[in-house]
Amino acid sequence: MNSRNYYQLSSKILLAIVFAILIACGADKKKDSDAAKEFDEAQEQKDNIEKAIRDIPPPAEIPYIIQSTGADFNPNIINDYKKYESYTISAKKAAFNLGIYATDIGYLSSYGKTQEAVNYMDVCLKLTETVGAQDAVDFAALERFEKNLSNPDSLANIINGVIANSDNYLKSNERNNIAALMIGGTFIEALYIATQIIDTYPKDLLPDDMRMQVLAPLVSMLVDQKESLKDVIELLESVEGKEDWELATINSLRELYNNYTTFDPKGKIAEGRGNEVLNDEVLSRLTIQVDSIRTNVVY
Amino acid sequence: MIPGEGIMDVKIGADWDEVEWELGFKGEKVDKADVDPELTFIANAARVDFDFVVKYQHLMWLPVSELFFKDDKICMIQLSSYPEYYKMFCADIGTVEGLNFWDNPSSVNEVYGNHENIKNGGKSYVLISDKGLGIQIFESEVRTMFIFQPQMK
Repeated sequence: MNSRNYYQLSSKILLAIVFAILIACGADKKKDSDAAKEFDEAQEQKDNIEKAIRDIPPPAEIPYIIQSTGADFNPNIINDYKKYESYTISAKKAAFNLGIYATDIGYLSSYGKTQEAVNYMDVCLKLTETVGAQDAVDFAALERFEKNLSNPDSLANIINGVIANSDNYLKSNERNNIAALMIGGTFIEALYIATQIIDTYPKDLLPDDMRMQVLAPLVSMLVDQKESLKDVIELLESVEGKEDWELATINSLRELYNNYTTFDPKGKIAEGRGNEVLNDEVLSRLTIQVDSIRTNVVY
Repeated sequence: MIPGEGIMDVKIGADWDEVEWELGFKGEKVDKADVDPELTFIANAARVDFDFVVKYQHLMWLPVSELFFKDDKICMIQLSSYPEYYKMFCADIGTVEGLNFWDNPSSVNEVYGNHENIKNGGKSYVLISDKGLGIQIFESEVRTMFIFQPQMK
């Protein structure tokens, strides 16, 4: 399997796990009078999850944008898969890190690091046990994904089928929450990889304007995440009975979003000041914020 | 962590902007009148006067939960092991003299000598004023540490 196909598989596996978790909520059917209200709330959250997945750019794009900068593979950027056991103490931490590892698989495979990607895939499947989704992972479906890699429409068809099947079952806020955190983890890791590459790109190789040209697709990708970030925040906000950790995540992402609203590299480029973008204070702050969130989660 | 000074670049005397660069987040400003009485209690006991507090409930890489400001400079720092997301960090943090989170009260005595316990509700505090360190003990474990300007008795 070539690296591109492998990455596509990893992205599909993440989506499959998310939807498998949603389907697993079928076990939580209730017959009391609160069931209808709970169903409506869960349905709304499920819609938010679907919207977040739709709006977040196809994860498969991100590693290739990174690759186009010519940046060397940096093994220190991704989270060590051997740390996975420390995440099994909490389902929520496991969920967030499951999302992080899924993005790391993309980064690895875009550089042809297939064996390493397999190691990450293995720990992802182990973390599904911690999040309580071990019975929900449909290995037959994963196998079907692999067999259909050459058909770009197959993923959409399979996921549509999964969503249709889940409509009758989705009820548990707890399971929705897990799915939301996984999406959050995927999102944060993509931002982390992008900001780290921008931050660590050699400054002595090219003048600022040339460096900006090389990194422009990555900066542009960062800018485009603003609406996705809003989706992720709304997704997490919709969870009922939030614990400290969720509140801390939401507070952190809100400040990140506030910072995003002042990040305007396109305006600078339009004014002929594109070479200032990489030294932009807002970009530096954004890098620190993403680093802080990610460091906390993977510690 | 250095009692009387700070932890990493979160230091007594730093301003809010400097701390924001270190932690990544601005946090939430709480006026003095609205500050948790528990915090006001320990500030009074440590003779730390403050104008406002900045509260953090964010995913940060240092377990800073509150910063006390006087004249826009940090005058007291609270590190807390209570939030679940800080527990693993706190396991690796201790004072330069060797006191760590989750140590028992006898460890406090071994490291800093005997000091008077101050009770407030179900929690007790030990103030080592000449070092600029306050310690909250809950269920026989060090759970919170306060850093402030060292004071002579």
